Amino acid sequence: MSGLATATDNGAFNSRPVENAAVSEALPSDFFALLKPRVMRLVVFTALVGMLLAPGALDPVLATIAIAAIAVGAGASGALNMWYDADIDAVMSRTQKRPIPAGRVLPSEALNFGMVLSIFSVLTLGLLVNWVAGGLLAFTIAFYAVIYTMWLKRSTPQNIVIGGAAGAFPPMIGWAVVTGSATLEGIALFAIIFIWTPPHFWALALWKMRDYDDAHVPMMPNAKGEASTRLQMLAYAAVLAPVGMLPWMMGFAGHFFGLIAAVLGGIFAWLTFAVWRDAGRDEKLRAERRLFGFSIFYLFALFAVLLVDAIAMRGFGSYLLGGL
Amino acid sequence: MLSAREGRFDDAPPVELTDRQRRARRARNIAIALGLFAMVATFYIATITKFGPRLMDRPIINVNTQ
Repeated sequence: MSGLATATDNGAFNSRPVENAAVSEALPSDFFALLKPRVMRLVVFTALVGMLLAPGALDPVLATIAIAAIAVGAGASGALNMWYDADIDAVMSRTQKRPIPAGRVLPSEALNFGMVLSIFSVLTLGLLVNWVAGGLLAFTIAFYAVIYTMWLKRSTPQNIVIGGAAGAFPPMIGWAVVTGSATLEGIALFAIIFIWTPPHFWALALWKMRDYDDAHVPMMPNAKGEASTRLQMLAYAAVLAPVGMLPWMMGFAGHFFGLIAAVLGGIFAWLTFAVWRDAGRDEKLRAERRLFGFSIFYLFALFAVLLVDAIAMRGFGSYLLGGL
Repeated sequence: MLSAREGRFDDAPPVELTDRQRRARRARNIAIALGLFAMVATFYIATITKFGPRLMDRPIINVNTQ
């Protein structure tokens, strides 16, 4: 229903309720959903680990502000992604209930929301912490919103491989927050998430193939076939096992971390092997679902152990006092 | 309806929001206010933190002028 009011014979206007889509009924919770809170959780966690691993100390207040700015920046890129991909999201069952396709938030609102949060998060991190971290956050947002969402996602099956870099930057930003520079250790943390992303995402894509097909998104299983995807996943898992141990190999994590990383990497590789081995045998795709679930656990567990290791290595008390 | 181009924009009919739209707008306004307050508080606290104890370590009167 459209129209705002009607004029009566005597020239007076009778106002009536506006029920068209031009007037927003969006609640704050809908805007919060635009931030992709679950992805944000992983971003916050990995950035925090990067901060705690980095040599040096940062005031706890500034560290908290930095984490909040990184979280808001990540959320802003999620909002921009949902704004641009609203047409795709409306087609796919996994994303149909997102605020824009569900009609709860107007596309223009999501765009403005994403842009404002992007600018404020980068300015906050740059002005209050340092501009290397602020610049990396700006690059991450631009990479995810423009390079991945607007360009790669709809044009190449390597979309998630290259686009995965956006999700891999947070620990590097966390490292830069403390040191003010991008070093090899930060790049090692980046590499773990970068190599982890393809098998993680393709496990999901294998059982959501039809969704991506309907939306004309060239994910690897649709574009190159299931067999090729499974083989590539196996290759990535084989590389991930040693890459996951890089912090130990490079000396900024202890033996405990090295051991856990080796075990987790081995399980990841085994589950990926099962995905490759069971191709076409199971209609319910249980191996793919199992790998997807474990891949999330893998990253959380790996970074959690890294966190414990970092705290143990530098001593919890001296770290906090060092920042004061 | 009269258009703005006709110079009669003031006569445009009032918009009456539904209860749902009004409630949503109010909730958004509160959220924006809280967000702005958080932003100001963040910059205030960060400024104090960055100054640190030096903030209090200064003479009230410049001795050179006496």
